[in-house]
Amino acid sequence: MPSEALYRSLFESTPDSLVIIGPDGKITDVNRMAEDVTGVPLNELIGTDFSGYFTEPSNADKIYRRVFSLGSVRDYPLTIRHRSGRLTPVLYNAVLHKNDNNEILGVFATARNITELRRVEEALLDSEMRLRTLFVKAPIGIAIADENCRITDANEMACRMLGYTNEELCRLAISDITHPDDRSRFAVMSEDVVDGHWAGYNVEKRYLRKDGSFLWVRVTTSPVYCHDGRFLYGLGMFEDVTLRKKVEAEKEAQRNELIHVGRLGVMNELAASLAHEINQPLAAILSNTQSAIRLLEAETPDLAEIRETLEDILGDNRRISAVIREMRSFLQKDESHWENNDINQVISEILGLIHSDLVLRNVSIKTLLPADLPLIMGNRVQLQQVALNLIMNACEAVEENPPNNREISICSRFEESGTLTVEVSDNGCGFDKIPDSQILELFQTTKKKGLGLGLATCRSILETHGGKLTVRNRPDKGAVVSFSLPIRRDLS
Amino acid sequence: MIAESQNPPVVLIVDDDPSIRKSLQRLMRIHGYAAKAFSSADDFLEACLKESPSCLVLDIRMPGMDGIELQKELKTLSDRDLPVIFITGHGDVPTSVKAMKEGAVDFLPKPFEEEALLSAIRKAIRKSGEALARKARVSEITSRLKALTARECEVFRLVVAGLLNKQIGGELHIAEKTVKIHRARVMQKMQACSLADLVRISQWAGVVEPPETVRPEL
Repeated sequence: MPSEALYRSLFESTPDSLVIIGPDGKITDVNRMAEDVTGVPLNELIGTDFSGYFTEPSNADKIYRRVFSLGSVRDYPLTIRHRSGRLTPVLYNAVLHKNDNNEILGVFATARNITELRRVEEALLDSEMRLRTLFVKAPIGIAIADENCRITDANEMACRMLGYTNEELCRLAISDITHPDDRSRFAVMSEDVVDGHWAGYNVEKRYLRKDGSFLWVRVTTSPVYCHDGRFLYGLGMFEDVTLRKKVEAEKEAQRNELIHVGRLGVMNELAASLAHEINQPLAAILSNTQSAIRLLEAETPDLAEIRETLEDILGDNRRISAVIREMRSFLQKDESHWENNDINQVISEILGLIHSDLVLRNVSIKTLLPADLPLIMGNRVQLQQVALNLIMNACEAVEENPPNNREISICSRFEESGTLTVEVSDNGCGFDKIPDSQILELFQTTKKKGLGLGLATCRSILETHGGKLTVRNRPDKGAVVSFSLPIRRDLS
Repeated sequence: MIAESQNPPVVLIVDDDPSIRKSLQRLMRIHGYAAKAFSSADDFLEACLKESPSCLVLDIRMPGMDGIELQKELKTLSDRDLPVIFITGHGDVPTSVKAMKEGAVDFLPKPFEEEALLSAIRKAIRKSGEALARKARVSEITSRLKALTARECEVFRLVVAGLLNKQIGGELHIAEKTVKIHRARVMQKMQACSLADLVRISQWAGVVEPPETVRPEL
């Protein structure tokens, strides 16, 4: 049997205040913790009313009585008042105190000091409040979405930017506020993030407002995972970049306008030879048509000959159509269309278009365009423009040579570095000086004619394609202008 | 003026564009001309041509030697001095003026009407026929001239220079009677029916010096 002394030491060792109360509500025993929390010594506590040490004595009394009716009370919050007035929040637990004969001797009560717990709770609450305020009042839009990409919370800025209330947003999915054109791209990205394949992304996309208008945002998305790796929620932070986008779009439009003007300029220079390119088959068509009429006038028309004549007319008609089609596509204004291009085909088409011009200039062209080069992602017309500009520049460079010695060679090749290079070299006058990229500055030119827009425009086009333009003189005579383009490039 | 013995007219075409060559050849054939086409000036210069009334339909812009250069080149070659009709898909005034000054029959910007080309061709063929006839006559007269003796030649020159028999006799230190005999032989051998005819023949032949160079002695 444990001794009385053992019970006493157990009684004293607990960090809680322990009180034994008699059936009359008077204290019969306390431990040191109880003395500390009340500031009243043991001898003064014994025999006093238990409820008298709480801020709400009636409540304490009520709980005390409940122990008799229910047998116990668990975690009832009360506040003990120290003699000095200091208050201690406690959780009150009590059971009936019985002897071996099951006779009720009173109540055995413990009061757990929860001051520290309260403090932590309050600190947490305070922290939570501050974070919440940070979330709600943040100057950027913030939204939280679940694994199904449904919005579960959004801050004030997000609501203001999107024109919804928080409640409305919480009924929507991310896709509902995403511009239709961006939805499919975004869906794939979200899936990757939820699946843990991607640690979030930072992109520019368009959001759809409640009123149907859209805004450009830069969104940073980061997934939040549980310690076991489970996806908890996705955090999206976004800022309105509509204005910047607008400025960028304006700059882009100006640049494209300049590029287009460049094409008009080149076409203008080529106008005479393009007319020739069309007049040639037109003349053949006219002759053939008149021949056909004469053939029909014969007593027994030679149908085979008439048929052949008509087929020739058809062929020349197609020739004219092709020239006009090439011209139109070259002069079109759409700079936004990107596609995969066979660079050799781009060069060949341009050579077809300027065939007459080359004849007039007595320029002989050698090409080395190996088959099976990788495709280039880019704007076809702009790539044609670059090729055309470089060839026209080379033509002007060889102008001073005797007619039988005006040579231009064009070659394309795939570089180990993963780029595709096109070189246009000539045996002409070369560049006076090539110390830097000065030669490519707008309006600066070594040419006698023209504005010098050519190379600058080429450089600008190549930059948007992630490529570059290089210029050098050949050791013997003439110059080499080459451009290189990366094989793969993500669409921006 | 075109002699009946002449070969049928031929239209020669030089153009680097196969469509043009084929269509023009067809058109010429339908209008009864023999047509031969060449893709470059060099091809044309190397070709073997039959002597017949012919004309050249020539493209101005061609790789290698262009039309204007070929036109100049032709003047130096006796067997290809042909009337030229220029055709061009790129008609500029300075070039056409240059071509016409060099003696082109016509200058037609492409596309051209059938009739414009045909009338130019008719004109050119006529010119060519005349030139050929002239050439034939010159060679005929040259061969007649060869039948004359040295003395007859001298008499011939002085007769067409307008000298009287008596003056010729004085000039050559022979009797007037002898002059008459030589003169009759000259008339006969040169197949002239009158003095005027003989003078014309002498000019055709171009072998007798113009009268002016003889006159000063009088």
